[in-house]
This record gives sequence, structure tokens and C-alpha cells, in this order.
Amino acid sequence: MSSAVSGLADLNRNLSHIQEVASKRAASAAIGAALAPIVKSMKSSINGSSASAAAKKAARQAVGKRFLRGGTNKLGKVTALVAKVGFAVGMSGKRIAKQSAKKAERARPKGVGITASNIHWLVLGTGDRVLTGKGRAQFERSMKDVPVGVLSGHRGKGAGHPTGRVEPLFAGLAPQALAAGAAEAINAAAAKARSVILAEVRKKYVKF
Amino acid sequence: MDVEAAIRTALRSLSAVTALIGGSAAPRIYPDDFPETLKIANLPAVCVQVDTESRQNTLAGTASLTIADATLICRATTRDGSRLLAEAVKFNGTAPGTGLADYSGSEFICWLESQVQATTPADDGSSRAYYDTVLSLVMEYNEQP
Repeated sequence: MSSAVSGLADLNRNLSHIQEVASKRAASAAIGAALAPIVKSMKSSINGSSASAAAKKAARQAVGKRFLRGGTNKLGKVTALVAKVGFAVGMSGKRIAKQSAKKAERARPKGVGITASNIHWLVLGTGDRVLTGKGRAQFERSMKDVPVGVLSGHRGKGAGHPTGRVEPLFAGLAPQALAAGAAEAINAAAAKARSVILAEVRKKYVKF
Repeated sequence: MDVEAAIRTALRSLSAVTALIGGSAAPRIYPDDFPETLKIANLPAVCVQVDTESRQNTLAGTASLTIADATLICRATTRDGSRLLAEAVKFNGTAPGTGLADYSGSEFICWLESQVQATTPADDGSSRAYYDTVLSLVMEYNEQP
């Protein structure tokens, strides 16, 4: 009596596909999936801080993530994998500009509002700030349609007038959030990797 | 749809919440931020903030489904008071209840994503602080194109 084992070639092909292609796909998908829990953790850390409700809202809106798979394109250009979470991350310049213009309009006649373009004021704080000549000129131009009486109570009269400083409200928050969300991020990454590998195996599975 | 207004309307319909923050005529529910004129005597109160509204896309174009992140700050003068208000918002008196922790209304559905405790300085020259319970909600609703 004898028996013959068949399908070894298919098995080998499937295993090498998993090793070479599926593993890379699974790894990049897993890294991408790990970002969402860290974003969530950052937002929770912001909520747990002692900043004002308005500052917390602005900070939450500025938190984002960016994931670039990396690799080699058709022209042979090699790009690195980028996985980033933080303030003002993952937003295009156009989107930030649009957001800033909208907030500045709402904040008139005082201030510019906080968006991804200036969230670092709240995160890192600022030094003592003064009204510059340029700023004053810009302010006056933007206020040209506002009746003079409305401006009478406004800060300062000219360049050099102090406009205060911003204390850091969210300094060190990103690494703290990363530590807090690490376990959840690893779990999310593992679950995603598992599902991608299973999908790849099903895709290439050959019935013997 | 003004999703912020929809949340405020939903909060006004929760009897356990209005029992704490005032009746349906003028409940202490504020959009964006607590007013500077809000006095400690007028707490507890709720602040409703909508952080992002993302319209979902399909291969055929923009769909009407919109997913939003909303944050509710339940503020009181004591930690227990803040948590009590948060529990009312979440469950409306009975768990699992009809609160916003797992809400399904005619305008939107939402569920609780996370809950965090915080304190905020009273900013009135004293060393007092407000106690906040911050609820993060995920909302889904239809936005007509």
C-alpha cells in the first residue's frame, strides 16, 4: 500500500506569498490601525486636563493622524512609512487655512481663534507678546468697517503694547497619551494584522 | 441639520437631566462653552460641543450619512454632583435607560465612547475648582445633500 502527497507546490506558493506579500500588508495595516486608539487617548487626555472648555475643544479639533504606507512607486522613488499622531497632523495646508479663516471671522474683533495653525500656542505656551506695528496695521485694516466707538475699549493703542502670554496647557500630552493608549493600540494592531493575514490566506487558498 | 441643537433638544427630553439642570423652559445647557456670567450657584450645567462632522462617501459620491464627534461637559461644584449629572445624561435614571450612552432618536443615534473626570479652575480669583465629567459621544445622522 502506498500514498502520494500532492499539492506541495501550491502549499509552498501560499506560504511564500504569506511570508513575502501578506506580512508586509498586514504590518502596514496594523500600524495604521494602531493610530486610532492613540488619537482617542490624546482626546481623552485633553478632556482630563484643567484647560477651559473652549481650549479643550480647539485642542481636540487639532488632533489628527497621518499614515503613509511607503514603498517604491512606478518611477522608482522610495518613500518611507509614516505613522504619526499629534496636534496639527494629517491636515492639508488648504484645510487648515480654510479652518483658520473661518475661526478668525468668528473671533472678530478680538483674536484669531485657535486652529491647527496656531495650536502650539496652547500646547507649548508663548513668551510675552506685544502688538507689532504690522499687526496693528493689519488689525486696523480688518476693522475699517467697524464704527470707532466699538473699538474704544480695545487693547492698546499702538505697536509695543503688551498682549500677554499664553501658559502651556497641553505640554507633554502626546507622549502621555501614547503611554495611556499603548495597550489598546497594540490590541487594535494585532486584530487588524490577524484579519489581513486571514483575508490574504483566503484569497490565495488553493483547494487540493 | 444643526447637530448641536439636536443634542440640546435630546437633553431637554431627558427627565433625569432636567431635574438637575432646570426645567424645559430654560435648562442650563450651553453650546460651545459655559458663559462667563455663569455663577457657581447656577451649577450644575451641561456644555455641548461638536468637534467634527464627517460626511461619509461612497463610490457614487457623497452619502447622506454623517458621523460626528460630540463632547458633553457635565459641570458641578462637587465631584459627586458632576458624576450624578453625567449618569443622568448617560442613562436618564435607569441603566441601560434612554440616555445618550446608547441613544436612538428620530434625528440621530449616538453612543458613549469615553468618559473622563477633570477639574477646571473657577477663574474667579479663588482657589476653587469646578468638577467636570467629560463625555465623548459618537453620533450618526442623515444630512441631506
